[in-house]
Amino acid sequence: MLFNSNAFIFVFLPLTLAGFFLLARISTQLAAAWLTAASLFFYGWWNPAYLGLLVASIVCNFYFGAGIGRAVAVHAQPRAKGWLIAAISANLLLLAYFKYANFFLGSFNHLTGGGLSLGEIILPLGISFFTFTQIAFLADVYAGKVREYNFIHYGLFVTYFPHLIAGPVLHHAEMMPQFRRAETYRFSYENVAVGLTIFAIGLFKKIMLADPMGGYARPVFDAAASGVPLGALEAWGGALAYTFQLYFDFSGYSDMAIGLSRLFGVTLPLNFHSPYRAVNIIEFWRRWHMTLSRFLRDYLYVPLGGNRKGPARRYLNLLITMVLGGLWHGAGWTFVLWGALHGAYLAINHGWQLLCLRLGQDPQASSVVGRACSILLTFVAVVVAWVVFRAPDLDAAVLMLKAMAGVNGLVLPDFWLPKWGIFGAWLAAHGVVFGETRDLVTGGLINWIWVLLLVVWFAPNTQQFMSACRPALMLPADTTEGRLKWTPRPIYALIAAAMLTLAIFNLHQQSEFLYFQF
Amino acid sequence: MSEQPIHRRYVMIFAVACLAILLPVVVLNYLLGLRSLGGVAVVLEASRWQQETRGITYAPPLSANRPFKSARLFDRLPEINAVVFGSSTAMSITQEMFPPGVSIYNFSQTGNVLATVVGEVEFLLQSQPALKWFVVPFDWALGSPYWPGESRPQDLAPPQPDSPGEDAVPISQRLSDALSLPRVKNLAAILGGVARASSPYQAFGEMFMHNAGEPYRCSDGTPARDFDTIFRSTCTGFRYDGSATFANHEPLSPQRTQVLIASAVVPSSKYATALIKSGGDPNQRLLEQLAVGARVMRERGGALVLLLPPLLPGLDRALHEAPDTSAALARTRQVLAQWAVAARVVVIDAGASERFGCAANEFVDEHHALPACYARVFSRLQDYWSHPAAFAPGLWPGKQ
Repeated sequence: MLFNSNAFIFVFLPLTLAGFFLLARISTQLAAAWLTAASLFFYGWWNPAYLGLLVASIVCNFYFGAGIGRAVAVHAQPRAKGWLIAAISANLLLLAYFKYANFFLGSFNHLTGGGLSLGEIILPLGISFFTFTQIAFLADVYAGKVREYNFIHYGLFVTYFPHLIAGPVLHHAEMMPQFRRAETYRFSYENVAVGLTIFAIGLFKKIMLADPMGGYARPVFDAAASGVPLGALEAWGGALAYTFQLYFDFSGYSDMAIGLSRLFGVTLPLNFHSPYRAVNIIEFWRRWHMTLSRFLRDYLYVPLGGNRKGPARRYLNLLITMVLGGLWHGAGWTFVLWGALHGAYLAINHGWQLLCLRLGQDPQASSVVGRACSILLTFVAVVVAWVVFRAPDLDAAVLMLKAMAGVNGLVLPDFWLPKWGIFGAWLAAHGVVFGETRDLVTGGLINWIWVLLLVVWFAPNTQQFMSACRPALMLPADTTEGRLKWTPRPIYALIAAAMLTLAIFNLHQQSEFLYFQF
Repeated sequence: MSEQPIHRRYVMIFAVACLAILLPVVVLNYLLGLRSLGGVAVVLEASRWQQETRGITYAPPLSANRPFKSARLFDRLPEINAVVFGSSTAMSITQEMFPPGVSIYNFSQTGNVLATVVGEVEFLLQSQPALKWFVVPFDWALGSPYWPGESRPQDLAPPQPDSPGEDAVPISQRLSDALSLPRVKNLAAILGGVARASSPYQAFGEMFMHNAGEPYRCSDGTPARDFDTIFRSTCTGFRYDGSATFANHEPLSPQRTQVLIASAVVPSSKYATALIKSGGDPNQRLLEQLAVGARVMRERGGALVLLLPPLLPGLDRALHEAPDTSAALARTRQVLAQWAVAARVVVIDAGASERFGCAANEFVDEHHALPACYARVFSRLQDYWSHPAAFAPGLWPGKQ
């Protein structure tokens, strides 16, 4: 079931909410069980056949976790380690079969000319998310950080429908205490007001911003995929359209998840914090898909050695972490290359900071102009990497990047020349070509781009706007900055209602969230 | 004020504002939808009106036109000897494209797949011996000729007043439809028109309570009447010969051509997907059934003609040259050519529409050609209808 569907908004959500708070009057365990059952229904709506897989994964991991916990409690570390290795291997094998088997077989066949095949394997929705969530749980049980083994709460933690399909990637330590707390099960108008507002903002971002951008990005990437030589304007138009589509799609989904969860009295961790405002790549990854970054840091980068084994090893660890992070997003070489690109970016960024420190400079100190240039440079680097991420294959990515670099020249649509008046004439006199174009970049897209650039660079994000009501966990210190703050005033209720209804009227063009495929 | 009352007030205002917008929209659009989502009474009324006036109309919804087309076909059967089958791709084929002596009804319907078309052909073959000419589009670009399985038996009897109609659309679908943006925009336009009317109360009643608007005339003088609540006064619908006006669509701009072609040839496009999956091998069973139909029509002194519909200029060539689709498309043509010779059928290959002089602005999208393009194709077939034997079976006009 999609958050952006009438069935979800008008039927599933009200019924689940009503059932939850009514049952909570009888028993909090009953309410938690109801929410788990509703979450399983939510998942099964997509494909009931995979419900069994999800349930089996939960049951097995819970009992693996309990086994590890018992071994840890009696200090039987070898036994605990054996359980842990078996459990993580089982999870990774499951993920490898569904997500990567055909990719690796395809690559093997490509190299050897073989014809091995497992047939078409349908990727179960959200498998990457629920597998990673549970691997983190197992690792923490082994580390002795888990105290609670309540099956209903564990089932709810994994299946909890606001995060089940596309995150945020939750940590049991931040969820279990909330499921245990009696306050969670008490109806609160504050939670409903905050939750509905954040949900309305998220739905608006998805339907009114991300989806139109997708309509502009798709034909450009399709053209590149079919070998059409693109001009620089077309390639940049498509790349920027996708840059905004992905951000508003995924951050919109995360907002919806946070808002929905808040309706049930549960606060989820923050997942996006204006990532395109980052001054460097290190900061970008502290602002983009923050819960995945946290997972990769805690359960991959740190166990690999992190920065504890010298600069060279640190850069290698970064590269390994990001390549695997890329592979997590999808079984394809474009994702691997995207991860490697970001790994290289991070290594360069860390190397630069080290160099600055050795030269006695403060890498964080910057003038306003310097800061603006840093943001722009980081943004361009991210856009370039998104091209690789979005392109259907490496050839198309190279074609796009070449076009963005100006290899095929820059041609502006000839109908812009009279519109731009003296400025257009000046440009034409100075070598800019105005000619017939393919309708890939329209005036509409140009307007979208500059408006959305202003939004991502200067407008407060959802959490900053809602900061007065503690909208999410993991809030950075600067979340409280800015003047525009939500308060429960009627004007904000009317604006939120208008955003929600506008989005609802556009639900007929219902599209899936991009991160569902990951 | 403590926290809870402030937030309670906020939630109430939010809920009331949402309801104040959504409820009237749902109720009014639901009222409109009671007719615009179909109903046998409207179908029969629209069909009766067209039979009397020879005007332009359709029975809602525009996307599900089988009941209306069946009603019209049966009204027209006494005066026609040719039927055009197929999906919306073929809806631009008009009576003017055929010589005197060939009187057509364009029975093409939105989304009609080849398996259904073959079922329709068989039904009319058995029940209507006076029909001599069948034009059957082979919509390879949309994939249905490659789908496996048998033809679907069809009963083309027109809808009866007591047959179920409205109930066929589930209420959840009606409510979703009522909340969709096109319906909301249409409602806003209707309410604007009602507000500007000399008698708003009467205008409201006509729009929300009556089955149809007042008759009017299109720019060429043809009468028209709207039984739907959208596309009012635009002459949208079907002509007396069953062809569509496509008045609710804009012709393509030449600038769009390259973009659309580029999108169409990527392996994930709807055009490429079916070709790639099937390897270009059409459903042999359906071809065999069509061959039987062709023999019967030949015995009646007519013919069954297969038509590869025109595609946006350059698209057929692009699919022929794209590495993922090239072999499959060549395979389709090879199979059809062999089948046509064996079944003694002329296959009009209009896919590469540029060969007939069609231009981008004679299309509304990649595969929906306007009458101007079809007229170019059929103008080169004028002799066929009087001397079908003079045309050699196989792909026509062959390679150029």
